[in-house]
Amino acid sequence: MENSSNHLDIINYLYDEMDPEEKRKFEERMEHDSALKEEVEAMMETRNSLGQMTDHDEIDIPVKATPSFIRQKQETFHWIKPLVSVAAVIMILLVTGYLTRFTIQYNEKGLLISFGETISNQYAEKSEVDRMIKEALSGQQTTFHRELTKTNDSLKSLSSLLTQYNHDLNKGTSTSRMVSEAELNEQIADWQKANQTLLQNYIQVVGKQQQEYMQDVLVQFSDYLQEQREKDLLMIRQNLIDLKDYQDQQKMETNQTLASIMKTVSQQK
Amino acid sequence: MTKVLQEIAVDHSDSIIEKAKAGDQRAFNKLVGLWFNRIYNFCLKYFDDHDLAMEMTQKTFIAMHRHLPGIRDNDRLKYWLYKVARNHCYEEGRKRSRGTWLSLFQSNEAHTQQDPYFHPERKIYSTEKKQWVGELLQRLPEEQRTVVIMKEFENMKFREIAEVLDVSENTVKSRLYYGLKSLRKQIDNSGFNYREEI
Repeated sequence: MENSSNHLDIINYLYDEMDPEEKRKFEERMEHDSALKEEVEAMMETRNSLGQMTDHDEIDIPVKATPSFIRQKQETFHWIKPLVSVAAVIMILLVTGYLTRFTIQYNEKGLLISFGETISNQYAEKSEVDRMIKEALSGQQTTFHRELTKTNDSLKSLSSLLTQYNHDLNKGTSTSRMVSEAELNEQIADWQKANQTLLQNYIQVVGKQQQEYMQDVLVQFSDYLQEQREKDLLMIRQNLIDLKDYQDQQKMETNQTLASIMKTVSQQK
Repeated sequence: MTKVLQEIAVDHSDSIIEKAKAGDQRAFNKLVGLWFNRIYNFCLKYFDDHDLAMEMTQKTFIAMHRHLPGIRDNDRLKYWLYKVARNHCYEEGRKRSRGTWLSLFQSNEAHTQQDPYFHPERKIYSTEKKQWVGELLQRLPEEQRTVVIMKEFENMKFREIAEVLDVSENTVKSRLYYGLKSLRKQIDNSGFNYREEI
């Protein structure tokens, strides 16, 4: 990294790419670093030696570089290029035709083009074509009848199988129905019996629970009545006491009033 | 003086390029006249061979004739020409290196010693320093040689070289550094004290 930086500094110094401050610092570095100074001097000398190689000042421009020559050259190529292209296409077609055995025939029936085997010119006559069609039709008819017979046989056997199966099915269904009714009655009887037992048990349990509940209710009601009676008695007693106190007070006040009246009357006398 | 005037003309060739694009033959001729010398010298230093340099230069201008209308930005013509010239030179160099594949097994130093025509001192004393420097350039790897030629002889900026070669400026500087270093090494190995001669 340091070396790379040095290289760039040297080049920048040699080609005056440094600003004055950078240049001053670099020259200071060179004063303290003799190896760097030697390297820079060597580079300068190399540049001087390159200066020995000067340019050729005047070069006669050859005809080849003038526009007329260039255009002429391009025009020459203009007709050569298509010619070469056409020749190349023809060559490719010839080689391809040879490899694929390309054949062209022309006769009274027209132009015939083929790849590979040569085209045959033999055509079938009308009667022969008719015969071939009839043969094909009769063959197809025979095949159709044969296939139809086979299908009919298959259907018949299938029908008999279905009849047999139907019969077996009916028989099996009736047997199974009888068995089911007896079992069902028995089952229903069992269920009824079980239900009856269950109901009885339920009534007993519920009756017992209701009885217990009623007893509780009655006890609680009795307790409540007793409590209320005691409260009423207490209240009556208290009221009687209050009444007696009131009577006593009234009696005393009446006595006092009478005493006062009597005293007043005696004083007036 | 002629060279300076030509460079000024190159920098102000916008209208000529426009006319050449429009098919004006005289304008195209002028454009070739403006750039031919520079492209030729670039190719000459690339190969150190006049005939090859002429061939590559002609190919470059034939390409320019074909593609000039497609160049949208006239300022980029310079980069485009150098890029095309460099590509032609590179392809030609590659073809030639295939033809002389045996030389791949010979080191540069060995080649220097075995080549009866390569004798730097003799070249210098026979006042053919140019040819000697040209031969030294040929011994550089292609990437370094291209950068050295563009910077030292074509006076292109680092940014311009980077654009022509499609690399970063730092890569250009790095290639230039190693190119100069390699040249220095070759000069030292040749035993010729250049400092005394100049």
